[in-house]
Amino acid sequence: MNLVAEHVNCGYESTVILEDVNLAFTTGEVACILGPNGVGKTTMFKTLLGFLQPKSGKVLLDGQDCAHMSRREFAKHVAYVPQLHEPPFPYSVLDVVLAGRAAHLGIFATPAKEDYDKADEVLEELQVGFLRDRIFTECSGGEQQMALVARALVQDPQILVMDEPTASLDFGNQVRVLSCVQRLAMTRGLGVIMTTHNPDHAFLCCQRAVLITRDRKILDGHVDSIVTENNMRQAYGIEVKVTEAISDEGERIKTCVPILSSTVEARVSETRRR
Amino acid sequence: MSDDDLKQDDGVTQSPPPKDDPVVLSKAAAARVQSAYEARRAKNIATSTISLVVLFALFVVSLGLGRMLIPPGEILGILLNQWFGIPGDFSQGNITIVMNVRLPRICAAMLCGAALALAGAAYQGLFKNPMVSPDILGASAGASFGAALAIMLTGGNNSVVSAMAFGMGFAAVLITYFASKRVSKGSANMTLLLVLCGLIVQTLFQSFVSIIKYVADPNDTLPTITYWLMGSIAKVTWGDLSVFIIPFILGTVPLLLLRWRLNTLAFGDAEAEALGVNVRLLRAILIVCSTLLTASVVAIAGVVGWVGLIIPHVVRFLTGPDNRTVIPLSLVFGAGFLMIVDTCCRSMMAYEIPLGILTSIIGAPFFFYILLRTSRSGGGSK
Repeated sequence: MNLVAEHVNCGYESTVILEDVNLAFTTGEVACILGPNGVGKTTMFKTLLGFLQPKSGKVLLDGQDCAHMSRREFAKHVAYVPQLHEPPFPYSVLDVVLAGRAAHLGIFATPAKEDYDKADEVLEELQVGFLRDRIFTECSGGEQQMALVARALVQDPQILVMDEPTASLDFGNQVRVLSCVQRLAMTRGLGVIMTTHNPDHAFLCCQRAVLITRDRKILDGHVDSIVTENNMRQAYGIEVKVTEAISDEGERIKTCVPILSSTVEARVSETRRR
Repeated sequence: MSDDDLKQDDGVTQSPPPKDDPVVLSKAAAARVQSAYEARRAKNIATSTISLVVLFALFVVSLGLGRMLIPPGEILGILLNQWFGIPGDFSQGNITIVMNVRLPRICAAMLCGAALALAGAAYQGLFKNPMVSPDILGASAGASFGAALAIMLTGGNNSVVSAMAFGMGFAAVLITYFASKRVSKGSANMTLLLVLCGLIVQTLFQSFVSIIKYVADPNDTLPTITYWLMGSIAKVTWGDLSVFIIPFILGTVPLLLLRWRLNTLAFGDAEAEALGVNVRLLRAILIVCSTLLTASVVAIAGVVGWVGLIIPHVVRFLTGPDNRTVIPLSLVFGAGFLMIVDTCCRSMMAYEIPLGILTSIIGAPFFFYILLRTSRSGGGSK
């Protein structure tokens, strides 16, 4: 299964924000979308998910134009994990997860025993079975994020679209969500498209990175060839060093270290003094 | 790239998922499922049975209350005698009071209360806001205008007033709907625009009502309009009810069937769409059904406030926010509440108290009490 944007112009009403987007995402691959604020990441995301119609071009799911597909049909293949926000009513986690079955239930139907089974299976798979009877609004950010992932998984999707899944999470929970993403791609063969503001997340769990630069160019390719010192300068206008850490198992993990401009200046003046 | 390629060149992912025994896990999961699904079913059956029994008890007691007190036992006997032909010895006077005077009025109170509470519950789910009442899109204001206009033009012909109230109530909501559609141009944030346009339409129609009141004959038409707007079901007949039941059923059945779908809207329109819900269609159905209910209540009973706002609150306070229970229980609780209030209206004093006034007088402190209890239990209405 693949989700393809073909010559898509994304934007609202009369303004086009991103021009000629050509991207293809497939199952089994974790892709990270990086880029500065206000560059059109969210707009592109909304277009891929069909919340916005493309101004021109097509979004195709397995060759089928999404514009002619019902929300229900689309939701059976592509699930969306939104950024955290409070729902207005204190639903239990189980009820939140069950909502993910909507695409598989008739319009007048209510969840049956199979749907409860499914919800429980997924919660156990994500190792958060204990959350089931808790109130969603009373859960911590990390727990809410896992509940939303569970809701997306009971949709039985092949492609998972995650909007900044690590935003507003503490460091430990960020890592937990990332390893969950990686595990899902491996065990379920899911395709994952996620946005993040942290290039290290791309190194940690993605093979592929899509970087949208400040002048709205789209760089697409393997993480190692996209998240580079040059590209980061072009995209964000900042200086970074890409370096490597080696884990106890001898595995090389790349990381991106920003160089603060004030630090650079301080160092320069220090060398001058010498 | 095929899946296999990816797994091979994916050198980073060495950590296997934690080793819990999958068989044990799924069994534990199965056991938990059993308890969740079945426990909920059992709870639902219990709550609906209890609330229906209580409603019936209230119904029998209400039939007995009034200027002429009739004990509940005799009421039951009369009902059995009249409905099922079970013989008994009752005075013809009591039979007439129960069957012809009180029964239609009590049925009207129950149906109106149920309709308003249901419309309120549906709107609170649709607008993701517990502070919303069924007149948010202008149904009541429009219906008031229709009724006031009809009273001024015809001098109070009952069926014309009802028809005009219903028609204008519906028209007002249509105006709101298409106005907000025009403003939003298909963008996602239709919900907020609906509320804002509803406010505009509501204000506009309320001013129209004021104009009519201002120009109406103060000796004759003005009091009729004023009393009508205070709400009353004192003069409801079986004929009125047999007309009312049509929009009632048309509005109630789809809402009952869509009760679970309503939950999916709580996360916002975009998220509901991503879950595979046709939000536009669902919203349209919810609005049409709620408007049918609200406008038809105004048409036979005048403006009865508060019921649609507080009853869903009470139900959520008692059973939690799941609309699978909130929607049907709102029907039952709404019916019970308005029946009690109307019984007070006709039996507390020597003369009638307008229904709309008493719902507010009883409703406001009751609502305050519920809010107090809700905040004490930690914000969550569980």
